[in-house]
Amino acid sequence: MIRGLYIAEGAMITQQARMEILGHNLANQQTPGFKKDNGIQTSFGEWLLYARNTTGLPESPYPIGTMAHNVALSESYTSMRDGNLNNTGRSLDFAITGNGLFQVENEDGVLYTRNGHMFLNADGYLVDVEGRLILGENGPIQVIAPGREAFVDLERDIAVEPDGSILVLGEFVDRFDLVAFDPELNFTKVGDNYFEPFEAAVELDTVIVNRYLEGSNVDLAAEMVKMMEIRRNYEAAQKIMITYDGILNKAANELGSSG
Amino acid sequence: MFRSLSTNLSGILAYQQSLNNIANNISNVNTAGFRSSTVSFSDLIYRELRERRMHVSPIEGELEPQNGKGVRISSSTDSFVQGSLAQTQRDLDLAIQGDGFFRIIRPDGSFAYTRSGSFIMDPAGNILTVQGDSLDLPFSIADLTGAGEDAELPPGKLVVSSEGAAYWDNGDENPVYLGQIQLYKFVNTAGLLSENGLRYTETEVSGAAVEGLPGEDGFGVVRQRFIELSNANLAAEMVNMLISQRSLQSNIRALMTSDELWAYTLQVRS
Repeated sequence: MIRGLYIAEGAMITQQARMEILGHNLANQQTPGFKKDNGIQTSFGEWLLYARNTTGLPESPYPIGTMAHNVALSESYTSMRDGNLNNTGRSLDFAITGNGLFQVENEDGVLYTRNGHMFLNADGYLVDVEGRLILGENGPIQVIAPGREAFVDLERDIAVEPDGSILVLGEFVDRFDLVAFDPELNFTKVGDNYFEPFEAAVELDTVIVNRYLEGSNVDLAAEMVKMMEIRRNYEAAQKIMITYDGILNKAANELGSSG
Repeated sequence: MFRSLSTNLSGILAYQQSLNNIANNISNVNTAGFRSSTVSFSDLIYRELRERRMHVSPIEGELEPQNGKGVRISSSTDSFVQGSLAQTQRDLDLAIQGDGFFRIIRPDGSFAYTRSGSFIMDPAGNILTVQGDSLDLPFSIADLTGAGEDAELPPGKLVVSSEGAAYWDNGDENPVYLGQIQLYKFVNTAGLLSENGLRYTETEVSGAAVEGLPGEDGFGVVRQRFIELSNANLAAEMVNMLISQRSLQSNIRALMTSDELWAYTLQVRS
């Protein structure tokens, strides 16, 4: 009989998890290249219910239908929709439109990122904000070769074509080695704007826009509405719990009293 | 419980910092040579919800639900976009049009770099910044004056060509050649350590300073009797302020909602 109490508890925990995911989205509404997560709810543990054997007939107990045992999060689905492009005017800001990700060198392999806010390191290589090397088709991209520091005016002499080719003083240096993702799939994020590597299985269809950054794809109004919904769901689950508490109170204290 | 409190707290702190930065840019829209800065954000680590005994039921073959822990400011980058030049008619106002920095020597002898070229001259003929650092020159105007503390400058004025050649114009037909003002630049200008957006010091990340002459490939030219204005863009800063303020507010709202959820939990047994 108190099965409902646990379902209400499950609902509260699930709304709490959704609130955490939503809170993370709100915290990252200005993170360049951030892709929002959606907590997807599912019912789980569907059980077939049987009527009690009260009739004594041979076919009983007989099934009367299914009922979900509880509620849970089935996935945190990352929406890969493009964010808005914001003009920054900075020569080392790159925005990707479409299904591409930059590749970044990591201690043991690569990471993928959508954040095109880049820098040069002291050796003239293109790096991300964490100082990790950005990969081009010929490995790390050396924008300024040693000894040429004096000749390149970063704000003026770097040009990037829509296909990701990097030109310095009109000379081809390298091309961004992008990875294509299938927006239908879900991806694992590891923080610092990185995605865990995966097998690329679809055609790359992107345009690189220089001097722009892709904003976060979090939609503030939509998240706020979702937050209201989470709050009311939580409140409803709480009411169910209070109701069960009342029922249990009656069972424990009133049913047994003679009087 | 209620980890979303700390998640949104990280958001509040980050957007507060972003507003501080915007306020600093706005305060300096009229500071000559000021370089505006922008902050950039990164998301924090992700954890699988299962680790925290949340109710999860992943779809067969799909990824485990995960959630992130908030946001942090990952960088604060000064913009080295050219500020507009304003004519001042002061002989000691030098603006750089294009790439490069003046090198200045701080009172302790260390080098720093600046684009704020509004200099002053002390009675001995040293060219100083308004903060009291001296401009690093391969020559000294003091040489003209001869020795002695009370020596006075000969009549005349400083003339600097766009290529940085400095002369002392004493009214004669041929001004006295003093020397060459040099400019300095860095592989990674963004890696310089900024002191108040005006004075910069070299770091490991910026790479070593590269010396060059004004007007050479990759270096800007010197414009005497001009100052470079702040490159903070008031309209852009106002838009940023508006957005950051709303971001801050929405994180506060989320924090309050988490608090309400907590209150609902406590009300179960009231």
